[in-house]
Amino acid sequence: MKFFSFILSQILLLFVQACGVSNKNNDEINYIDPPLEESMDGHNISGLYLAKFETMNPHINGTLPGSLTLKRTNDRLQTFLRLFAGHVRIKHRQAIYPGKRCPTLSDDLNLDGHIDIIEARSVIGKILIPLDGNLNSQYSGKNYFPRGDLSGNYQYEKISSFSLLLKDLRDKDEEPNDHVIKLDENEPFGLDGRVVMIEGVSQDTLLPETVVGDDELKNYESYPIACGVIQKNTSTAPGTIYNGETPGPTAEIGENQDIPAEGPIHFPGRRIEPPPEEIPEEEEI
Amino acid sequence: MFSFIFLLCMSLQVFGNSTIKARISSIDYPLPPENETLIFLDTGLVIKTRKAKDFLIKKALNELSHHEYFFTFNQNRELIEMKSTQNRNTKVELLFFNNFDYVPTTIESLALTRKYFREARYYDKESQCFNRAMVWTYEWWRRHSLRSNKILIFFTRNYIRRYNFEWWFHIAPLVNVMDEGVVKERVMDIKYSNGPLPIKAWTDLFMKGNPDCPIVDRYSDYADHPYEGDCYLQRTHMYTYQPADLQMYEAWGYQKNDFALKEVQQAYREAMDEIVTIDEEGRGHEIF
Repeated sequence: MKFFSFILSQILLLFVQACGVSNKNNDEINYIDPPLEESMDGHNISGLYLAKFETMNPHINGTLPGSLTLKRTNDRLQTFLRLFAGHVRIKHRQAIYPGKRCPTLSDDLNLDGHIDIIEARSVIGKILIPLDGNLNSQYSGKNYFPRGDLSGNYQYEKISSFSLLLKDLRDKDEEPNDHVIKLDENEPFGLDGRVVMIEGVSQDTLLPETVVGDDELKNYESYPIACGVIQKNTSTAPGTIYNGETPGPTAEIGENQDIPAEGPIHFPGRRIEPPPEEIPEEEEI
Repeated sequence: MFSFIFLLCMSLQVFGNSTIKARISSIDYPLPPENETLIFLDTGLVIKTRKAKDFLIKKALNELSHHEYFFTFNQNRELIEMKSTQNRNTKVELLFFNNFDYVPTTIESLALTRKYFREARYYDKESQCFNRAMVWTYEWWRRHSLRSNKILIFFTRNYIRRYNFEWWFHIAPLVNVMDEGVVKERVMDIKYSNGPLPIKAWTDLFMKGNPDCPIVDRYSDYADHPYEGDCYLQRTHMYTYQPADLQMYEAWGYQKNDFALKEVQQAYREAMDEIVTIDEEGRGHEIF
């Protein structure tokens, strides 16, 4: 019996120690970011990538929802970007940058309360992939950017060749002094962890003189409005399959619930008559 | 059933070209480039062209999205001509309010639901689904105080391209019905069915292979996943007019808590060819 008690106490001690060790380890765990999907030839880049936008300069832009979705299947790269409620009919320059985080107000170097394009680029770097008229080339199609509609919304979609895009990024940089860069010779490429940024507000936006544009554009044309970090999407497709249940709350059936309601529209309305058909003039024989 | 709907749609157009007024919502460019480009219109229709390089691509990114155009296309939905309407589309004045509790009416029986279904007016013309849904839900509200819902089905870009599908979304009224002691949902799509339908039966009208369409709560669940699955469903209340309303709710928490009268007017005009007047003095005139 004594022997049995001794064994039992040792087993319990083992559990106590095990829990203690575990707690200690938990306290000491440092979170390490998972390695980014990168490679020289892009072989490990596949599937779905998503960047949800954060609004930049929200005191000017309000809240602008939107996202960038990238999907690679074999050599096919599908790119879909949507932005909702930007400024009306404004052209939006948009691009993927090598930086790993979006600029914040702590990156406001001149303390004017605005993150302009120069301050943003000090965080995210130069343009790597312009999301313009041609994703297979940094320079072809570079003047073609989407424009918001009358509600400030737009959607942009491109289907491109991943191999051509990567080949172009590895070409020699013919214009090293512009705002677009190529990959270094031994620099791996990946989408995961890169940054997408959207620019452009209307000309009548009141911006202080301290907000600067880049060499080619006015300050309002290159004013950053939204940014997101691209992440590999490993979650399953959203939504739940309909199980036949009616979501609540549901109303009780009331007595006399089926009665006419009041409203200011008079219906049915006056039928619009189609215009009379024009009778073609008879040709003279 | 899908074939039946397909044949029905085709039969309506087989006799010639169609022309509609719309704006471009987005463009899906092909790879390789000689394939068809898909043009997504704000009406929900998808049309196609192989001539995108000639005249669309350059213009589309810079100009088209805020212009309204007349699109003429053949029975295969191939673009024949695009002409400016020469006028800008004005924004509809909307009423937005935050935070309201909306509980749809429970109709007391399936028989009464069928009666409502039969009573809904159907005007035989090619019209936009969101306009029809607005007229039906508005008239049920006025005649019966029926607080209904609406249901949207979003077709993914994969599905549209795989099956050369015609729409990117479709919307129809959805009602709660007491049936055998349980509250059930029924879709009231007057144009495409003969009576109230369960949700799955309704989606099967449009989905080849009858896949299950996941139900999402947020517009972004669909919009951020354009290449996954075939379709998504989203429920909303009867004041919703178009998908833009769902985006506004998700982004800012704003939603309508009443019918936006200009939207109802617009719906009557497009779906019923009727001009309805608004009584500025107040509510409660005879109307029927």
